[in-house]
Amino acid sequence: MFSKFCIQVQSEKELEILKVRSDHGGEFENEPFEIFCEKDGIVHEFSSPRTPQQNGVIERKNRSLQEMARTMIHENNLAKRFWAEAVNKACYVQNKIYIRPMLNKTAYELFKGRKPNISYFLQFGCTCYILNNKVYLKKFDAKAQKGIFLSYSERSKAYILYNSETHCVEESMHVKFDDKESGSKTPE
Amino acid sequence: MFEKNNCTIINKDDQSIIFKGKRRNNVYKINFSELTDQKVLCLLSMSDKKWLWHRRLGHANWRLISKLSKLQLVRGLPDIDYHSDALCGACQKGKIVKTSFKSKDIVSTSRPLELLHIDLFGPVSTTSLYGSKYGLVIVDDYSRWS
Repeated sequence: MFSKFCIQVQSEKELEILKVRSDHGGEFENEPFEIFCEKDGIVHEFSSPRTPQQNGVIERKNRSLQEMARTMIHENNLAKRFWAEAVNKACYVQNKIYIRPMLNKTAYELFKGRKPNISYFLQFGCTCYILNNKVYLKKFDAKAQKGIFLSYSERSKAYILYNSETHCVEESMHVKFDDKESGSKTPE
Repeated sequence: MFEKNNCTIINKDDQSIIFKGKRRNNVYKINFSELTDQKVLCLLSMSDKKWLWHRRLGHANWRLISKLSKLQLVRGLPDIDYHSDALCGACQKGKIVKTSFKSKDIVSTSRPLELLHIDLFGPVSTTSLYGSKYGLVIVDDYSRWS
């Protein structure tokens, strides 16, 4: 998993990863990982055993991701099994809007060199209507199915949605969102 | 403009009437379904817009949103005043933290034995020589004598 990520990031930025810092978790401290690091010339640094304080950057990011995801789930009273999608969405949003302290720029701008566009952002969990273009419909069948907006697709220009009628997660571009529906709600 | 039986809402720029309402008892009512004039595009107020973006950005911190807007770090965020005017229920559910307690910099008691702090610790997994498992600690607030 990590090796795939490394190859992708390195070729995207045409830069090489120099160091990796982690704790002593079994998923980082094992032989295949070490071999991979050696091969690519990556220095693997560890925090001291039982000292997560030295691993502050990642621990703090974990917390903000979890907090944002938790908030988004509870806002719409969604089932907790949507947590993975919520975390993905939180990550997507945070990359575009979180400001790097001291440098005073968003993470996106520092990484990609241009300002992020957030005009298309939608609320997590808002109701949407998905055009049913998968199955052949009879003349007077309903053309759309109700769903819940989860996230944006990373690979294609599409949305990731949960279809409440078929109970599947799907990717689609032919969607109408009811983004304002809860927009007029006053905070509890 | 509010009159005795009617109210009219007028566009400040060109003095055109946006919508009219009639008074029923003490409330001016506006029937939006009667509106045939398509000039009315948005009935959301600034406040709603602010909250909508707060939710769209995954309930991000108000300070952060206002900074993004002021320093123009992103494209597509409407330029309005972002500040919290109410407590967001979902934010509390997701992010509430314990209150912190600052240590006091004054001595609040004036003589020994005025206030005693008492706590019991235990059960200790190893029993003591006399078989006890708990310890009682009493501290005097003024002198911190225990």
